Amino acid sequence: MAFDFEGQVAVVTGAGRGLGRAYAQVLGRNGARVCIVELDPTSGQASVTALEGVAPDVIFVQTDVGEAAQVQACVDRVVEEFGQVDILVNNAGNEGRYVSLEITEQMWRPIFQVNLFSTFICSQLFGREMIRQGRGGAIVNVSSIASLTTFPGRTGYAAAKAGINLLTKVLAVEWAKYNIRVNAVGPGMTRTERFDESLGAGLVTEEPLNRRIPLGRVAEPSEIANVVAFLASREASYITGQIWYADGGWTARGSL
Amino acid sequence: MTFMEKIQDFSLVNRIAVVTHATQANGPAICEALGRQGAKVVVGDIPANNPVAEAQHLAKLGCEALGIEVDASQVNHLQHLVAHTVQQYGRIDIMVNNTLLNDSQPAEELPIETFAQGVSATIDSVFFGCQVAAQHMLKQEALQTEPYPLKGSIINVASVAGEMAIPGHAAYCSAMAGVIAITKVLAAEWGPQGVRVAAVGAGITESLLKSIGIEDLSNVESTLPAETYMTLKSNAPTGYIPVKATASPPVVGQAVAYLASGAASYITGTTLYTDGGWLAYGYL
Repeated sequence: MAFDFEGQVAVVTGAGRGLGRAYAQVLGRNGARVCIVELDPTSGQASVTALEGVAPDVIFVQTDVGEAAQVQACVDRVVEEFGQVDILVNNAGNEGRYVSLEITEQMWRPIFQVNLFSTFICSQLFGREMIRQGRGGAIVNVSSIASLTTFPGRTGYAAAKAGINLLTKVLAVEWAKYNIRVNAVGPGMTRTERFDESLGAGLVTEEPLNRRIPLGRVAEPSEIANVVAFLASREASYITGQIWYADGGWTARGSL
Repeated sequence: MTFMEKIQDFSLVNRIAVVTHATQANGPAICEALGRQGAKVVVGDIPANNPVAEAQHLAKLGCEALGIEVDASQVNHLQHLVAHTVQQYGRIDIMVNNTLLNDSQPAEELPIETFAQGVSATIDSVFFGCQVAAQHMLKQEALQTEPYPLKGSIINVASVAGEMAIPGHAAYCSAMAGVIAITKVLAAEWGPQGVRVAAVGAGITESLLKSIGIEDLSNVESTLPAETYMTLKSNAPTGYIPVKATASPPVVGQAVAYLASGAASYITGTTLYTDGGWLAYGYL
């Protein structure tokens, strides 16, 4: 699928692997200069290597997106390197799989720090830069089918992702006057490294999943990345405040 | 048993109910609604809000009530609240996790700590309120209700702000969406063991309007602040509410009492919006 991001700068958080890298790749392949934001230097650097020759330019900024000072340093670095920022993809997150009756505050808090608070921090600090530039922008948050339907053992994850949905709507309404569009993608089950690890660890098995999903299969990362690219693109210029589920029909179907 | 005999009533006689943030926002109305249906109500709030006085007020209305000083943002306080309730009454049938509106600020100016604390204060008090109640409910004897034995009901207070954007309320909206999601997950987790978890989605209240600078509903145009709130500016706010009235605490209280009763025995994981049709209307 072809989009035109020529002359634009895209920032993707948690872009060291999995869907984050796929988002960086699709934006870069279609002409955006890309900043890989990642906590782990090894995977961050690996994504840079993967994007070299694909994107017109790519940098890696090691950042803990839960820490505002580090995110601000990342904004400064992007502006220094590229002179602008047009697209932000808030992908960084983690799962937090716990039994509700046994969750402690120490287990509970980081789920929100990494998923929800980081999305707000990055949106605000990159959003301020977009407002300062005065040319608008596009923010794509990464939600989940878990924000809409239930996965036992994912109480915090579900709440954090549902929080991202409403954060998406509030920011879209508030920043519409700056022509900053804010949308979210809600991926379904996707064949990422994390998914393969879960398969390997026996946490999920593919056959019952395939039966549960109307399209009969888990997604390839590119199938989610194309949605992110569309929402970030000029073609989506009238879309804001929306949560798009790319889930093979998961959320449309009851559990029967 | 005939069909009519299977129909549950709305009575909460002899049920033991605990309410957090009970003297604030919709809290007093929730306590009163539960008390009027016969529940014994444990009124929990911080000392500065004098939950004991609120309990005395309920007693004057003929409801049995007990005030307990508790900070619902502290897990150990919530544990104490449930332990004290069980010590006093032997069980806990109904847990109501009430929530509070927090401050309004444009997102680009909102301090990150304010966002994080605003979300955490609400989400933590609701989740751990559910957790401490369920830890006891799951151990206690079930009431022989239809269509299945019930060990307890948990009702969380959410808002339409968990479904639609209220400009200037990034933290509140995010937290309310979280409360709705928590309600779904815990309903799925604990349903098989006889604990129901549901939520009430409060509508557009006067306090919500005030928090975004609308003081006088009869003179909306002149009192609106900046164009930040343009979505409300083009019309009187009640113009967006099909029933032409803002949401009041009693309607939330009534809905909580209903969801806590046997009449709501098959309702779990659901958020019941008491919003005068606000969510259904497309704001034209």
